Amino acid sequence: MLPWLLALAPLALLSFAAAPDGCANRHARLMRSGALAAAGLALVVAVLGAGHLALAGGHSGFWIRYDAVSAVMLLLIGFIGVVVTTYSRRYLDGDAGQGRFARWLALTLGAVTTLVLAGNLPLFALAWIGTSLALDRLLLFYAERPGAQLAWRKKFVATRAADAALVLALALLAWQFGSLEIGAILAGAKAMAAEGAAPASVHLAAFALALAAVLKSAQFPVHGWLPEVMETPTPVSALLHAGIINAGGFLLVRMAEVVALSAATLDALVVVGAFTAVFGAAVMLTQTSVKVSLAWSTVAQMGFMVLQCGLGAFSAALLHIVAHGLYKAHAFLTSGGAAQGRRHETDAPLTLPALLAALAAGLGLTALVALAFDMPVWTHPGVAVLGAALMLGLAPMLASALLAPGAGRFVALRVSAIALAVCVAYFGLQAGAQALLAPVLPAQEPARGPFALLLSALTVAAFAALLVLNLLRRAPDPHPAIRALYVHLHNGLYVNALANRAFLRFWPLPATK
Amino acid sequence: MSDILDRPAEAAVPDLLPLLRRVAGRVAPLWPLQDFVAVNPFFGLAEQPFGAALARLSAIGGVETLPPRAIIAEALAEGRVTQADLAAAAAETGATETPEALAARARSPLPPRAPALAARSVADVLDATQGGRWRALAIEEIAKWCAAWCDEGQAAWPMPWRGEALYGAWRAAMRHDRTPEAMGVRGFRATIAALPQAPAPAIAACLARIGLAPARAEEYLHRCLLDLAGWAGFLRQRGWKGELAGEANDLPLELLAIRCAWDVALLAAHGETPGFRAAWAERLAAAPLAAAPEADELALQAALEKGFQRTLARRFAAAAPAAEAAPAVQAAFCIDVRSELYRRALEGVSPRVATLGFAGFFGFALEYVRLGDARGAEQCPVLLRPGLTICEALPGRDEAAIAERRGLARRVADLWASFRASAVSSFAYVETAGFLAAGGLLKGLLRRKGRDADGLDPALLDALAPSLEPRPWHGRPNGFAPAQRLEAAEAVLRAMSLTHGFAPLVLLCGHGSSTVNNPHAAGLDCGACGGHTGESNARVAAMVLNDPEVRAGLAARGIVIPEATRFVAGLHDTTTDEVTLFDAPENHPGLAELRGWLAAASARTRAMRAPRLGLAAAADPAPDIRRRSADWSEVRPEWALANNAAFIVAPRARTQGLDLEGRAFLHSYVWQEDKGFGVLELIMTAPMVVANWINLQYYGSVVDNAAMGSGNKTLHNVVGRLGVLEGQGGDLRPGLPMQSLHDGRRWMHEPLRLHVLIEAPEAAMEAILARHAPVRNLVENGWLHLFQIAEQGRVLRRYQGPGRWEALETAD
Repeated sequence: MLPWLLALAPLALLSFAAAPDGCANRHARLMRSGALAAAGLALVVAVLGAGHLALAGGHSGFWIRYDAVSAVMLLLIGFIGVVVTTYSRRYLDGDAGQGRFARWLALTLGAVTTLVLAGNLPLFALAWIGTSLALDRLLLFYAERPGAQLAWRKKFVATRAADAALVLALALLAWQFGSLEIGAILAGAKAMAAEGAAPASVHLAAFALALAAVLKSAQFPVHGWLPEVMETPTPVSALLHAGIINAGGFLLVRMAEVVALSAATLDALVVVGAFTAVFGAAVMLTQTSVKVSLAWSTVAQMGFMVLQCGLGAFSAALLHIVAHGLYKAHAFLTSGGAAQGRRHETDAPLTLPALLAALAAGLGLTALVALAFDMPVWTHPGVAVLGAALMLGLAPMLASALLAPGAGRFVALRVSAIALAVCVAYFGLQAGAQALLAPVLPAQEPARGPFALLLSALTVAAFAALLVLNLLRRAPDPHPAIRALYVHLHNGLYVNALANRAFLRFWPLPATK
Repeated sequence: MSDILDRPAEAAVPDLLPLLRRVAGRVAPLWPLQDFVAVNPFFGLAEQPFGAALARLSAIGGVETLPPRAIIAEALAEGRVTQADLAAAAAETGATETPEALAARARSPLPPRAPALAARSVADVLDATQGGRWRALAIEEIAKWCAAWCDEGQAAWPMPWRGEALYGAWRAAMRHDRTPEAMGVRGFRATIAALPQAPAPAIAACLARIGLAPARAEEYLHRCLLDLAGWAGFLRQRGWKGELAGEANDLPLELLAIRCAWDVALLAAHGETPGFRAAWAERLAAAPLAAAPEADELALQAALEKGFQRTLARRFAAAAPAAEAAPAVQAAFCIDVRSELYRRALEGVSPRVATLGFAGFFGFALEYVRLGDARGAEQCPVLLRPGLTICEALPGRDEAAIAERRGLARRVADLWASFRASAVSSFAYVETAGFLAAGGLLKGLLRRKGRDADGLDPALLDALAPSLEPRPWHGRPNGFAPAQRLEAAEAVLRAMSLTHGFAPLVLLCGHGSSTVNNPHAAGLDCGACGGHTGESNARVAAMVLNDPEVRAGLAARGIVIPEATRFVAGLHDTTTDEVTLFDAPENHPGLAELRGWLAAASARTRAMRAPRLGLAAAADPAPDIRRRSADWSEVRPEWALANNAAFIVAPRARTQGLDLEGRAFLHSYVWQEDKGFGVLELIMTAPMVVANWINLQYYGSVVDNAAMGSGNKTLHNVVGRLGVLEGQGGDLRPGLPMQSLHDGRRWMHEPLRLHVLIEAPEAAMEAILARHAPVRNLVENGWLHLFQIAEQGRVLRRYQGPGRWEALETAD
């Protein structure tokens, strides 16, 4: 019963493949209502499925694997899908391609829904590739725009490389475990973890999985297309940043039992994720348009999520996917109001003593709340790194509120309350996610060598460097090197410019008027 | 080529500044989104005749300046334009084609435009010879730095050189920026570093380097500036106040210098590529630009207008004189074309309402300071500077404490915002507060509209009111001094031709829109209030006119307002057509009746608007119209001023009962009461010019939306909290989005020039034209059509030049 119910969601959405583009455009109103109905059905299925999972358990079969991970992802995609299809009804009203838009929106949602429910490797691979091909039709909705073409080409190359890595990984897994069924493979990997040794082919498979995820989730240096896909209507950006970009992260979480078998793979994920997070966040600071700024924020957040996976904190990564998806969908869909309302004064000067005091306060707060949630940092290195990021993040706000001149008790109390609430929410959500996902994910902290500890320390240092940068740039007369760094960051360290030039040379755009 | 490249920057540059300033004056200013007002995109070309200016702009910018022919073909097919119109139009514009040939012309699309050789830049010629994208690259890169320099709070880390002038700041950044070199412009940084440090000498050096004599550079420089017309316009707006005070505005020259520098860098990097050398030599040898008006195309435009004029004249001739009765309510609305529908509806609801039209700021040019703010918003037409500062107050409450508390609450909100936007904390923000966005998404899905109290107790929002009395405000002067009040009151009543016969209730109704998630929201608000709602102006006006001391003073000056007469402020929401009253005298006997009439008129207006919104005539349009005002995904909340075509200056009796289809600005005016024609002079120099700006904004956005409009709303990307980009980058976009002009099937705006109809003696109008060159330019160069309403509206006479007024035919 449950698998049939679940299959309704992708099947309803994928049925839109039957309407060719031209026909879809002629019946735009029908198409957009139909897409909304299918997306609504998918959300209903997601809710009913989650209810079933809570009361009567999930399902693990050849076609469909439905566990807490699938349930969370299906709920997220179902909700975002309904929001985005509803939004597109009015937003694209009158556009000659509205029917086509509705069609590919449904197909993209159908493919990604299939991905999160897939129970076997070939279906997983098909859905993975199909998601990106369907999304391409949305990214090229205004195919005559050179910017859209250029960004798509970069994405196309990265994504096809990701496909190849995925197919390699899945083939290795099928060969190693002698099954195409994801459930069997995960069980096999779990057994392997208990034995404490994995053969080279599993390491290779884990590495290929990680590579596919990195290529798919816009990690440095293949992030370039993501900030450039603003050449398509806003709801596509919302869907991409809230739903599709998570495919890489979902792959890591889905295959966590396998990925966790390879410490070297996890180390690689830490390095790539941490660098992308710090790089993306720093570039984001300098961007002047709301959508591009949001896109760089996605680059950073995806880096953070990959970092979490690298640290073995897979439940935290899934939590991040959901929180970021909701946040980013909302941010894109409301970006039209970016110029309205009062301008926030976010650049209050900071002094080093104030910051140090706030750091101490932040450290104390974070450690205490972590303890209260039974997540002492010293036994959870992953939590320690992420907690340190939280603490470093709270520090400037606390410093400005508690110590900057002119702030009254009102501000100090409010901001302290906010900081406390953030800490409680942070650890509360982490603990909740761990409890929810414990049965389907590897033990929270896989055994790691000293190298991993070094990497963790370096990661914390990188976040601290961001904080120092924040301090230095706010100085009344910033050092020339900081000014130069501003220019380099504003340009995303030129990775994209070089990529654009190469692409224009080897895959030139058609001549424009 | 090397002789061009090596030519030294001549030390003794002839004084280029007059030329540069002339070029800078050619680009239209562009207001930031918070105060988005309509601007004439041809502003700066008005001293040239319409046809010649358009031809020149087309040739220099490579842009379209004439309406899509399909619009004329459709009018011909529907019989709105006749063969006779074509013949008359051809005679007027000097077209050589027969009416039949013109009609055939209208049935084929306009050929694409290309920039004239004499205007082309190095980037243009490189693109043509190399098939590259150098011009696009230059625009992209320059726009990127303009955004960084102009940014009003989007980037958490602002550009470090913002304190310097734009060109200098850009040069400083270019010491580090490797992008041009990464994209293939070799030696870019060195080339820029070698250029002079100030913009004008830099431009001179650039002209010398590319080998163009300053005397022949005007078209080139104009084209360079048009490449970044959006940012150039925004820079011009930054210096606009200075321009109003008569100062030179050299901000656009900073940008021009950057654009010229890019050409030099492109030449230095690619000057030797095959094909370019010869092409550039040919370009330098090009004959000066001689763009003749396109008489045949102009005839099509003129024919379209002739069709409209005939309909208009017939309607006027057929109008029945309205019955004169003492009204129970006089209701003054903004001249905005949207008021025409509402006024007609209100008069239809009750014969005891008389309506008036006046600029929606009601003559009170003020800076309005919200409670706790350090700066106010300018609530007046952008051609004026506010004369007084009015602070918002909370009558009867502890205002100072509430304002202080608001300041603190805002500070907390700021810190929370920086927690969201800072590099390190953004991760923790997403993992905790990210989930709260689910509520926001639900609100959007259910179209729940939040009201941002901005640090105030939401219950207090409705108690906020403007204060005529000065308030403590950073020690700065504010409030409305009693002597000033009297002057202002007298001026506004005379300007409205409202000096006697006051009704018991006089409604002063400003307007504003209500939309969500709309970057161009301010563009739907009152242009006469600087792109804001007219609420504060109407409330201040009503307060002043209800002031007993003012009334006494007015009586001494011959304007006797009966003691029982009350002025009431209102706000017409043009999206929903609801009218809200402020500070209403609840005990006034006529108030309940007025509220009933307003509600009925709102419903009637919505029904009149329904067909254009694509709503079925049978159903009540109110639910859909309300949805539009609260829907975050709505790209067509209202049609705003689309289809505007006329500006009528006359007593309401002249237009009462005429269906003007929401296409006319209506300004009340009784010339017999205007001694010395001071009021007429005011009307022709201010509201008429504003209406012309709006009209040409629509015209420009229709004829070439890519150049003068802001493109596709679904791609809009707010930049620097000040403007929109279409997509991820490129130039700042001026004008109107396509969704404000086109419903997906047809144009909702017919690009007609403004038809100004004035009931006043010819001599008075001619005297005003003679005194005001800018207004004379608009009229005599054909940027609008001027008519006299004669014989109580039975005859419309078109101005053809001093002393020549020609009656319009009303027969077929």
